[in-house]
Order: sequence, then structure tokens, then C-alpha cells
Amino acid sequence: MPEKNVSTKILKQAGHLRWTVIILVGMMIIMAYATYIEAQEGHDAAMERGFHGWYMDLLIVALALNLTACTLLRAPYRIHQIPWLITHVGILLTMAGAIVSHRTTLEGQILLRSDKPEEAVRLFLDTPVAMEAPLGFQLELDSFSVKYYPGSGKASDFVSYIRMLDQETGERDTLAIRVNHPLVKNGWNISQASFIPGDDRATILGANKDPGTPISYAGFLTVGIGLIAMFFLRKWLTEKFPPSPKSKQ
Amino acid sequence: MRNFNIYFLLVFVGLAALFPLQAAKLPKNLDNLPVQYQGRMTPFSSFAREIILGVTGKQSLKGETSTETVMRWMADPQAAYGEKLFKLNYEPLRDELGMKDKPIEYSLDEILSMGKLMHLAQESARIKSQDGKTTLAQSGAEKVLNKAGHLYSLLSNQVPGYIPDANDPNGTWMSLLDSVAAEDTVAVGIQAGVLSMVHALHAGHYGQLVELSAQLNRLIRARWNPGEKRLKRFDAEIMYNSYRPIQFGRNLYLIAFILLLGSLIGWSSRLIFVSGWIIAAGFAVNVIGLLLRTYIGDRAPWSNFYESLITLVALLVLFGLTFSKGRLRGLVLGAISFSGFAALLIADRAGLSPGIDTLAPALQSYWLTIHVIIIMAGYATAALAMVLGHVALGVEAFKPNDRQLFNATVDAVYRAVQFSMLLIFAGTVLGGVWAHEAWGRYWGWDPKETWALISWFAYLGVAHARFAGWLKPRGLALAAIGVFPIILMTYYGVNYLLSGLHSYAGGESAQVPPLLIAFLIFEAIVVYVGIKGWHAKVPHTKPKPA
Repeated sequence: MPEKNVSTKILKQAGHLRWTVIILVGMMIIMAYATYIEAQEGHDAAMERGFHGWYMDLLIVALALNLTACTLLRAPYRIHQIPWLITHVGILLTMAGAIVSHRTTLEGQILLRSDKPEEAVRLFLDTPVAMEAPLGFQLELDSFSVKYYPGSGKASDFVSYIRMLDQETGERDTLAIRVNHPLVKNGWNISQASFIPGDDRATILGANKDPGTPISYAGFLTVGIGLIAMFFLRKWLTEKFPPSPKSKQ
Repeated sequence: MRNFNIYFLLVFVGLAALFPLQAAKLPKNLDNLPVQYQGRMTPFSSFAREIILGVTGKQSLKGETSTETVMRWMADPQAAYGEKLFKLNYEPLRDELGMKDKPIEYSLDEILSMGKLMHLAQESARIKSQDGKTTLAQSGAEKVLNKAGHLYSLLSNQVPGYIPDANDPNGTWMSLLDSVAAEDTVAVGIQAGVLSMVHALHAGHYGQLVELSAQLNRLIRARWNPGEKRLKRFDAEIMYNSYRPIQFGRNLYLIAFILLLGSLIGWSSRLIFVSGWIIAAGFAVNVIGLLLRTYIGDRAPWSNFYESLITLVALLVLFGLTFSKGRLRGLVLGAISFSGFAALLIADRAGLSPGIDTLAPALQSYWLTIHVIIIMAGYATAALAMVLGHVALGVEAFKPNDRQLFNATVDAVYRAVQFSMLLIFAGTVLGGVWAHEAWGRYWGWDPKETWALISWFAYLGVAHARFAGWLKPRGLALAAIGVFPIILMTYYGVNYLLSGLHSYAGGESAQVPPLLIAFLIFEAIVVYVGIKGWHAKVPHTKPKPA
């Protein structure tokens, strides 16, 4: 049990569950409102005035502080609290990953034509001049094809047949990029995004590079482990290592 | 003797549940005729059902099998053109067309002669192709014309494909319209076979149909020759169409529910035991239906809205069965048999296509199998919490002195909420992993993703509020009811009321169905009365000292 001093009091107030619920409800309202804006005015407006609005940032920071305070408050942890601790640390880890993603992610497109190999991604950025990021390897389109289910106009597959050349390592490869089957190389995820109708000598590939993803995945995994442990181990842990009768939960 | 009665009852129930199998007037070989429609080789009965669904929004018309209806239209196109099949009841569209006092129902002939309607529909299609926003009247007109188009394509012989064509690079089967140019004898033979069948129907010579349809079946199958495996899958679809496992399961749930109501008003309490087994049988049939669909479509059986709903019911019943213990047994069984029956009824009556369609490229991934079943389990446990919430309120209202039963019910609600929280988390994260694989990012603020997160927060909030002690037992029951509409928004609303990347999984209608509105109003009243009663009944809700 931490000592009863001013900092403990502040910690106790900041980590109060009351705030968690208020923050969660606030985020729910903003997110719901943003999906409404998206349906009315499109994705960009929803991002600007909803998901990436300053009030959303504020709530995310508040949630992180609240969770941190609440987690510190329980120290030193007793054994039956460990699943709880794992879960909450996992959420903080996920949020850390999301912040890294938000600051470092590169997102863009490659318009690939069969007569013009590409080595860079055109980024989705709101700058007056188009910004490009180097891939570190070269992509060349052999052909693009749409496959259909027999006797119908329903597409069954979109495939870009690609020649890849990595000048640094001298690696060469021919590969097919299809929906759900991206090329993953040098941290880039190159996926089949779109196409030009009727043109089998061009394709539009999505390209993303996000160093935050592994951190968030580690967070997801931690939360998952923590939740499962809370569900299936807590009872056993509480029986095996009973909390001392004096202390309260 | 008592046991004998129960077995007798079980046999009777089995027979009663099978009863809706319709006795068909037309030969089976007609239902089973392989045709090509929307990229699949499917029995004629499946094709006919999709056409009727496209035209009327219902799976079949009164008193007829789907094959009978479509064959009737084909045999007498003149009459079909004149049949009043289309409803112009959408207010914004009626206003735009100036139809205030005009009738509601129209025939295909009449629809096709409405110039203004055609114009509105064309505008709608044009605006959508440019990613613009249509007016309600325009999209309404497009919907009406889409329905008309289904009938028109049938009557003008553009669909289905009857004649397999080995030389076609896309594997397209020739329709009667295409076969005008056919030269080889088999193609001409199939064409003639279909035509003479239509003639026999028109003339009312039902006797000839047996021989004709058998012959036609042989001709098409010989020419199609897709290999043993595909043929087996095709035959499984015939079996699925004639045994209708989902409807069979639905009837079993209904029978169990009626027996449970009986036990409530004082019939034998052994009925609870019997209904438990009937529900288990309903679940088994439900699962067999899903397995058959997996085999037929060679894909996960939760790939469209209809399928996700029957999966949801199976999971709801499964979770419910594990919850039905001790004194709660009858109540939980009643809750799941009623909601299972109601949800399966909605699945078949709400105009959803029960077709085992082809998969869009975006859905062709093993993640479809993993992600959807887990998120559906999350929705199923949320639905179970909601239904048990009602049960808890009912126990409190009708048995105010049985606190033990009430507390046991609320404990079950709490457990369902916790499972929901866990499963929605897992399903959403795995959805993110899939999104990362398909689009290179695990989170893109797509409406479905966003609402999944909102749902998770909601159940997270309820669970925290409960163990913090802010929600008392009745408060928890009310909360489980109160947050369920968020799940409905995530599951249904996002696909039909909002649009986004996930919209390939759903439609684009902006109308909220009356049934949903009625449900939400009812729930609002339940929650209101529940909160009001909270204060009125304070003396009752105080636990007695043990």
C-alpha cells in the first residue's frame, strides 16, 4: 500500500474508474459522430473533425494518464492481480504503438504502368507538392488481370503480375500481388488497391510502412493473454494465493 | 409409461417440424436442373428463389414453390408482364413522381412505361458511378427498376444460362437468348428441351414434364461435366434446398418454446427436460445447415448477411445451452428458443438473400473464417446478455420474493457481458490483423472498425461499472439491454445506414426497417420502466440478511 501523501492522493484521483468511464463514453460519442460525418461528407472530413480532432487527442492522452495512474496505484501487486496488471499494461502498450504509428507511418500509392518501373511511393499527404518515399527496391508490372466468376460480371480476383528487383542485394523475383496477398518487403506492405478499368497494362498498388504496428500487436497479444488469464486463472490464483485478510481489493 | 410418452412426444415433434416440406406439383428434376446464374452453377430452384427475391423481396410467393412461380412466369410471359408485382410505396419517390392518390401496385408493363421513373433511376446510377450523393427519390427509383430488371431479364430469356459452352474462355453458359446463334446439336437439343418444357407448362400438359425434365437434366449434366467433386457439391445444394435445415431448426426452436410456455402455466415440469433436448436437436440441425453450406460453397458459411445471422443463432443457442443449469434452466431455454426462432424467422422474411454466393476477392482469406466466427460469438453473447436481461426483469416483476433466482439470472447476464467483452476484443483485433494483411494497416477508422471499437468500449464500460458496484443487479440487467442497440448498429446499421470499405458485405438502403424501430421503442420502454421501478421498489430490492 503506497503511503497516504499528496502524490498518492493525486494518483488516486487521476486513476479513478469514474474518469475511465467518462473518457470511454466521450470517445464513443466522438467516434459515433465521426462515422456520421463520414457518411455525410466523406472520410477526410471525418478524420479532421472526428478521429483526429484535438478533443479525441485530449481524450486519448487522458485515458493513457488515467490508466497509468490506476495501474501504479495498485502497486505492489499481489499474485491474483497479475492478470489484471497484464491487461492494463497491454492497453498502454497498444496505445504507445498507435502513437508511434500516428507519427511515423508512411501511406501512399504506386501507379504502376508496364512500360515504367517504379522505385518510390507517392504519399497521401496534404502538401502542395506531391511527396514521394523511396521503396528501396524496384517494381515492374508485367500485366494486370481481373478474373471473373464464370458467366458473370462478378470479379473473382484482381492480380498484378510483378517483377521485383532489389539492386542492393541483387535479389530478383517474379510475383503476383493479389487482394489479401500483399508483397511484404523492407517494412513495406504492397497490396492490390485498385485498377484502371479496361487497362491490363496498369495497376494501382497501396503501399504502407508502419513501424508502430509490431508494438501495437505486442499490446494486443498482452491484452489478450491478460483477459484470458482474468477469465480462467483468477479464481484459481485467488484460492492459491489468498489476499491477506486486512487488505482490500 | 412416462418415458414412453416423452419418446412419443419427441417423435411427434420431429414429424411436426418437418411438416412444412412442401409437396411440389412439378417434377423434382425441374428443381434440380443445373443452370448458371451470377457466376455459379446452381439448381433451378435456387436460381428461381433468387429471381423471386430480386423481384418481390420475398423468398417465395404464397402457395407456390420458387420453381413453380418462375416456371409460371416463363410459361406465360404476357401474364407476367401484367402481374402487379411491384410496389411504389416509398414516399419520397411517390412525391417526386406526383403519385399522391395513385395506387401502390404496378405491373412490369406499367413500370417500364414510366418515363420519369426511368430517368430518375438513370440519374441515380450516373451519380453513384461518380461517387456523388443521390436524392432519396433517385435511389428509390433505381431500386424499383432493379426489381423490374430481375423479372425483365427472366422474361426476355437473358437468364439463366442453360447450355454449358466448353469453348467459352469465361465458362459462360448460353441463355435461351444466346442460344439463338447455337449451331451444335447438343446446344440446339438443350434449347429445344427448355422450349418444349415451357410449352408443356403453358398448355398445362404436366404429364410430359416428367420425361422432358429428366431428359434435359441428363443433357445438361453430360455437357457440363464438371468433375465428381463439383457435382457432389451441386447435389448437396439440391439436398439443402429440399430439406431446408434452417427452417427445420427454426420449427424445433418454436416447438421447444411452446412446450416451455406450457411448463410455465403448469403443464408437466418434465417438459423443460424435453425442450432442452429439442433445442439441442434444433442446434444440431442448424449446424448441419451451416456445414452443408460450407461444403456446397467451398468457403466459410458466414460470408453474407443471411449466413452470419444463422451463425449468430447457432452460437447464441450454444452459449445459452451452456448457461442453462439448475434453477435457471427453464428460463434460459425459453429465452434462447424464442430468440433463436425469432432471429431465424427474420433471416428468412427480411428480404435477405439465402443464396450461397460467390466470394468477392476481398473476402477470400482464411481470416474470413477466423475473424467472423469470433466477432459473431461476441454479438451472440451480447444478444444472450440482452435476452437474459429481460428474463431477469421478468423474474423480478413476477416473482419479487425469489431473490435467489433473480440473482442467479443477473449472474448469468454478467457472465455473458464478460464473454462478450472478451470476444469482441478478440474479433476486432483479428479483424485488424486481417486488414493489415489486405490493406497494409490494422486500423483505418473504417465505420465497421470504429463501431466495433465503440461496442467493445460499451461492454467494457458495463463490466467495469458492475464490479465497481455502480450498477446494482437490476442496473446490470438494464445496461445489458441498453447497450445492445450499439451491437445492432455495428452488425446491421453500419452496412445498411453508413457506407465504407465493409459495404461490400451489405446493401445501401437508407430506410430503417419498421421491425427494428418497433424493437428499439420497446427496449426504450423496458429500460424506462426498469429505471422508474428502481425507485418505486427500493424496499423490495434490499437484500434480506442471510
